[in-house]
Amino acid sequence: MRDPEVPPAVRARLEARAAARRERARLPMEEKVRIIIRMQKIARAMALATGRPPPRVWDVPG
Amino acid sequence: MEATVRVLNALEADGIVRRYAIAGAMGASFYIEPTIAEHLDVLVLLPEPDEETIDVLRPIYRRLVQEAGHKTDRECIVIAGIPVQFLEAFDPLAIEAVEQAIDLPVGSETARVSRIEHLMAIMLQVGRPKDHVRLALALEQADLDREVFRDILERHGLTARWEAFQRRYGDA
Repeated sequence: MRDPEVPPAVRARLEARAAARRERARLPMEEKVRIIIRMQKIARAMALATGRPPPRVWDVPG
Repeated sequence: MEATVRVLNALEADGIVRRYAIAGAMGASFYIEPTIAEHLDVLVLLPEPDEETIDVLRPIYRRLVQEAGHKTDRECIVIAGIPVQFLEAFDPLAIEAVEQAIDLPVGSETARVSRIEHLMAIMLQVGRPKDHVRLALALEQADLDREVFRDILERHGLTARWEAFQRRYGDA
């Protein structure tokens, strides 16, 4: 989607972020799992800090 | 995750399940950037049962928990640190998503994963906000066969939902 109302500088930033997401999409699955576990740890810390039920963090060897 | 996949492959090799496929958020993560997930969804096709039973997943539970000693956590069985939720593929779309799943590498193992076109159709079918987010990510990032996707949508009655999605979010 290209919105003609979006300023060029903002569009360039959005396109760079999309390119970074496509780059992450090509990572090997083991690396993606490491990223997911990092996200789970962050989500858990945020949940505990705000009194919400903490989500699981996987305990994957290696 | 490699060790988890090894256990899933053994379930199939030993005939506990006829065929399995990783689906859900983790299935999508094979094709798109990683998104946070609580567990691994595994769709299964089961062998013909020997007896009438309500709990069709009992043979999986018996093998993994009672015999192999894996722990349970709520609705999941924890295999090598990853909670796995087994779901019987019962509707035509889910059955097809297992039957046509493909092999993808996880370390030295090979995991069977539903095709992204089936995962996207299931996201559309389920239709929660997080499914729509993943659908938009898949449109942006996945190497999608649009003919296959369109065919799946038509055969499973999801074309109207797809058109509504496109009207709302556009087509990335």
